[in-house]
Amino acid sequence: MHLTPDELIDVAEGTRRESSLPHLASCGVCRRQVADLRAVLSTVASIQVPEPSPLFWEHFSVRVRDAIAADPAGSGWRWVWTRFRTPLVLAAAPAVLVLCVLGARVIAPRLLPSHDATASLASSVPAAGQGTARDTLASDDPSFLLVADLAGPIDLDTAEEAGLADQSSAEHAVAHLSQGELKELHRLLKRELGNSTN
Amino acid sequence: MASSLAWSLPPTTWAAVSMTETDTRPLAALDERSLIDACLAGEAGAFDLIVERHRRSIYQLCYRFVGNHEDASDLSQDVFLRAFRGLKNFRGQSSIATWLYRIGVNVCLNRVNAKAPLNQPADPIDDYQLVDVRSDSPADRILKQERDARVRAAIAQLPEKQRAALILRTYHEMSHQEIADVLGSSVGAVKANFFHALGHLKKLLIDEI
Repeated sequence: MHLTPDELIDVAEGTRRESSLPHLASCGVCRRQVADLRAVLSTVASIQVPEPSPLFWEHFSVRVRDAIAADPAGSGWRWVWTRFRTPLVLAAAPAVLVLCVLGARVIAPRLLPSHDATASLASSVPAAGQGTARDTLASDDPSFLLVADLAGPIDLDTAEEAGLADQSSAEHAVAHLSQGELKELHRLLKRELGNSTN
Repeated sequence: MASSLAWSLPPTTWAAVSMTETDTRPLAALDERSLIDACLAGEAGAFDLIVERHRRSIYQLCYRFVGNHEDASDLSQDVFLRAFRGLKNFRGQSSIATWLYRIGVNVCLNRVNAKAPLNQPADPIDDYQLVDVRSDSPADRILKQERDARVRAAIAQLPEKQRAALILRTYHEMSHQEIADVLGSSVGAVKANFFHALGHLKKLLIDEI
C-alpha cells in the first residue's frame, strides 16, 4: 500500500521522519514521489516577490487612509473625526467667532430696545400715585418683573458686598451720611423741589 | 506640546508614539487585542499601525495571487479597507495576521474569479529588478527573472484552493491548521490541495525542475 498524500506531504516537508514510514524504504514509486514533491517545493519557494519602491509603502498607507475616509459605509467619517479632530476644531473656531460677532452686531440690536423705545418707556413711567413703574413695566414685559423680583430684596450693603455697587456711587454716599448731613441734604432737596414745582 | 509634536512627525512615527485613551502605553507596545480595542475606540494611529505591520505580507500574498504590482496594490488596499469595516466583528480567535490573510485570500479569489484567467504575470521583466540578485551576473539575472515569471504563470493556472494552499504554505509559512482556518476547510483538505498543487506544478514546469 503506497503512502497517502498526507504522508507524502509530511515527509516531503520534513515534518515527519522517513524512518517512521517503513514502506518508503522498500517502494521506489513513493520515494520518487517524495523526491518530486521536494523538487517542486524547492523551485516554488525560490520565487521572490519583487520589492516595490521604498516610497510605495508610504503612498500605500496614505491610499488606505484616503480609502477609509471616502468609504461610503460610513465608518470612515468616524475615523476622519477621530484622526482630524484637533485641526477640524481649530478650523471651525474662527467661523464660530465670526458668527458670534455677526450675531452681536446684526441680530442683537433688533432684540434690544432702541434709544427711541427707551425714551418712550421713560415717558410711560407714571407719576407718583398713579401706580408704580414696576407694575407698568411688568405689564409690558414679564422679564422685567422677574428682574425686579430678583433685585427687590437686595439692600445696598448686599449689593456692595457682591461688588455691584461702587463706593464712589451716589447711593453709597447717601447711605453713609451722618444725621446732620442727612438733615442738610433733606433741606437742600426740599428747596430744589420747591423751586422746580414753582 | 505632545499633540504638536505628533502632528510634526510622519504618520508612521505618530502612530507609534500615540497613546490610547484607556491605556497609557504607546500604541507600538500594545498587544494585538489592545490594538484592535484602540481602533474601535477611535484612537488615531492605531489602524495605521496595523497597516504598517502587515502591509508587506498582505501585498506579497496579493502579488502571488495576481502576479502584477498594480493589481496587488489595489487588492492590498481593498484588504485593509475591508478589515477596517470588519474590525468590530474581529473576536480575537485568531491572530490579526491570520484574519487579514483570510480577508486577503477572499479578496484575491473574488478578483481572480471576476477577471479572465491570469495566464501570466502582467509585469514586464524590468519590474523585477528590485529583487535582490546582486550576486548574479547580468545573464544569470535575466535567466532567473524569466524562470521566475514562468513559475508565477504556472502558479496562476492552479485552481483557486490549490493556489491558496500553496501560497499560504510555501510563502507565508502558515501551518496546515491555520490555512484550514483561513480557507474554511479541514486540515486533510488543505494537505490534499497542497499535494495536488505540487503535482500540477510538476507537470506545468516539466522543463524547469
